[in-house]
Amino acid sequence: MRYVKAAVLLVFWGLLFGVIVSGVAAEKKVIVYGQSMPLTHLDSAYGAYLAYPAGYEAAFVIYEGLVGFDEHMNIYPLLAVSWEVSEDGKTWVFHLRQGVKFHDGTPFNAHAVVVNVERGMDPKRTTTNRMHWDYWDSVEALDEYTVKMVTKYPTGLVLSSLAHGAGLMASPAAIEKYHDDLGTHPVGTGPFMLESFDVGKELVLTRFEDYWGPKPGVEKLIFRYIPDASTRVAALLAGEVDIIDAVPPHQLTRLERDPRITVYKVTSLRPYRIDIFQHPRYAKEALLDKRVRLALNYAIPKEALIKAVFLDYAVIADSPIAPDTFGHVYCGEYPYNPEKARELLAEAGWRDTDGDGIVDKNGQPLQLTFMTPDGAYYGDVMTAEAIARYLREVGVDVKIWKVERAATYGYWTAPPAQIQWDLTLRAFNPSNASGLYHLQNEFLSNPVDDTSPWAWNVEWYSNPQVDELIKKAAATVDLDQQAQLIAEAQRIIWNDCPSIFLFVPQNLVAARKELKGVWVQPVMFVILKHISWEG
Amino acid sequence: MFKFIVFRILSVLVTVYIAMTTVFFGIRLAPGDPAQLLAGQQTQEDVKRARQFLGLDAPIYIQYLKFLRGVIRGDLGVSALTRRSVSEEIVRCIPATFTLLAASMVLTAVLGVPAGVVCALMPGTVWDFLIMLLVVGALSVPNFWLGMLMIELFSVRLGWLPSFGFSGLKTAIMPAIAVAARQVAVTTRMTRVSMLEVLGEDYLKVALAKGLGTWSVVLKHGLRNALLPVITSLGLQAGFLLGGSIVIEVLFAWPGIGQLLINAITMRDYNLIQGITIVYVGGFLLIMLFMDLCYALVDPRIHYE
Repeated sequence: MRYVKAAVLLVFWGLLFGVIVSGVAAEKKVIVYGQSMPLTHLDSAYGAYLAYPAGYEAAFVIYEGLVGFDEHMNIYPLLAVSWEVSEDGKTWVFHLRQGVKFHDGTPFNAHAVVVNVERGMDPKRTTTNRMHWDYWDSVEALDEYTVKMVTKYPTGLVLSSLAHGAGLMASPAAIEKYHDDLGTHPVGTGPFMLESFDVGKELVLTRFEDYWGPKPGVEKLIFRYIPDASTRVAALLAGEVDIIDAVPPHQLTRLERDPRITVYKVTSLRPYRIDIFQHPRYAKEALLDKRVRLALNYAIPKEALIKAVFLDYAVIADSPIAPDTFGHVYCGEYPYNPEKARELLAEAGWRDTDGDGIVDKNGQPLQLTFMTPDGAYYGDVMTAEAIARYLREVGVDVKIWKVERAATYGYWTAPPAQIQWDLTLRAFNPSNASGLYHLQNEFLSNPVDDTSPWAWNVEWYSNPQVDELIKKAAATVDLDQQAQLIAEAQRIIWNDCPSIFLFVPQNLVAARKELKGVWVQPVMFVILKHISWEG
Repeated sequence: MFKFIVFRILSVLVTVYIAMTTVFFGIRLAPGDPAQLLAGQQTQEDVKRARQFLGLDAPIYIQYLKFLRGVIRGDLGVSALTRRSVSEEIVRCIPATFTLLAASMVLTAVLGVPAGVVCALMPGTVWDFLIMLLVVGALSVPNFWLGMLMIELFSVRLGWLPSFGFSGLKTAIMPAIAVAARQVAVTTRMTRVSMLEVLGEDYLKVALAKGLGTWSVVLKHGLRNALLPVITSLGLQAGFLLGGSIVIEVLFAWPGIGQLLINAITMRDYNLIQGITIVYVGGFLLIMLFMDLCYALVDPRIHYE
């Protein structure tokens, strides 16, 4: 009887051990990514992969476009191996990669490109990201692997639009079959294909065995939604996930010290700035004076803020656009100098004549309303409150107005007569890494004077010289020429000093050190196409 | 009794109607434009197109009529976030919400009621004091802080429990404790007070005098009567949990209705907010009705006409 018992126990423990070992061995082939935003659907035509950046991150491993962005946002050939553009800059011919298949077996060819581009061009089927589609005039398949695409006017944005998430190619058979449901049934040419999608919770992808490129070193890639930052960090430390994004700066030091973890710090494309409302008719007279705006810049110790709010995980802004944005050039600095700030204010006629600590002119104190979003950007309220304090030290009375994230958009983009703020904290992220695109969105003069700004020039900055340069750059297909024009525009904007240019935070991502091939792009995307596990 | 139930159900319908109308107009008056949020960082042209797509460019009374027509037909509309039907979104959250609700209510009842009874039976003793001390502790601790501490200890340091998600009963343990902490405290106090009141009643002395065993007296006669207010309290707590526990769900990445609602509000997903309101208000009122019917069962003196 004793031997029977012993035998049973031996078999039991043997099996248990076997299960555990096989479980552990299988673990290494499955990578789990804990995301800060939920994945709600994977169709570029709708809402551009809402809940930025989660949707794009999944889309970039499932789908591919004609071209792509590498780790440093340089464009490289993907589904197109080469391309030419005509003399007039309007006709583009792409030579497609051969032997590529979609996950459902449909071959990738010119017909597939035509179907996708026509879908993108149709405003009824693709309601968002119109900026990437509206300039196309026609698309035509010249032969099975050559596509001709014509724009309405020459534009330098073509390649960055095609590398953008908007340009990802879906299987025409799937588009046909699923219509609006493509969001939950994505079919692309990428290294991972859909296995199951629990919307808002978990996306399970498995390796696509017929992928045309180098096969990823893992079999399954799982995306899970973990909204709370501390839970994300805990999950990484507990080994429940292998990589997490959006690590808050104060949690990063713990991860940096952990020998099991690798930390990625990549300067983002999204500079924080304080917009200064300067519409010629509706803004406060003080803010139309460049000396006052300069004073506001000199009054703020940007390095101190970087240390305090971002724990040094940010870079001081030296241009209206971020360092890794295409076309960025160093424009200058406005170092902390409260003396100079007071001098400039005095030059502009603002002095503290009544000794209350606030500068005034003609009996009117300089009082500004500073609208800050609450929860839109990391450290937003903290930054705003610190800045208000520094401005008060040079005699500017700043009232802070905190607004919930969802409501800020309305207050930013209201028609100029209805704007209720003088200063606002805002950050723009050009998701195609194009400096031209960034300048267009934020610094082009608003065409119509009394309605909402057409894009994000919510401070109503206007300089006809800058407009000229931007328009010329937009019509230039040659990227070097475009870069030169953008550089000039940047310098002029910097010298006009329309805003308080603050800093560019870093994207903080943490992963198990055995996970290799992780691309953390400045645009805030974590690209897991090329991962492998070396444990 | 039948008339009573019918009347109550009608009043539930009226209340739900008032609630959903209030929410319908309320969210449209609040700052925040769903079209702008859908379009994200894009131009005003894109925003206009998004508004048309969401059906928000129609005059508000037309939107309301369409909404009412939909509700009558059982169609709560489509979520702007996922483009799937609102009812589908809500139904998918039910298992998680229900699991958390059941687990925390079980903890609450199993820990809270006996603790309250023990306190009432031995008032002023060391046990009473200790239990009340724990109760005050549980009431003062913020539930998310407790949750974070548990994650740090049980997931990161010890590796005993999963830190997030809903995949099996093991994952429900920490969220349920975090939610139930406060509830256990409230229930213990409720039970203690109620029991103390009942224990002083004359009819218990009579039962003891008649020769009934102490335990039989305490449980059958005492507790049963003391339970009525406790049932009310438990019912209310369960009702609130129907709407999910937003903070705990976000902390533990628990895919319940609370998380759905907070995401819907952040993105001003009108249809989803309206749908959740209807389900939550209706569900809560139906639980109240159920509680009232339970009273009739427990206390034969209670009649409904």
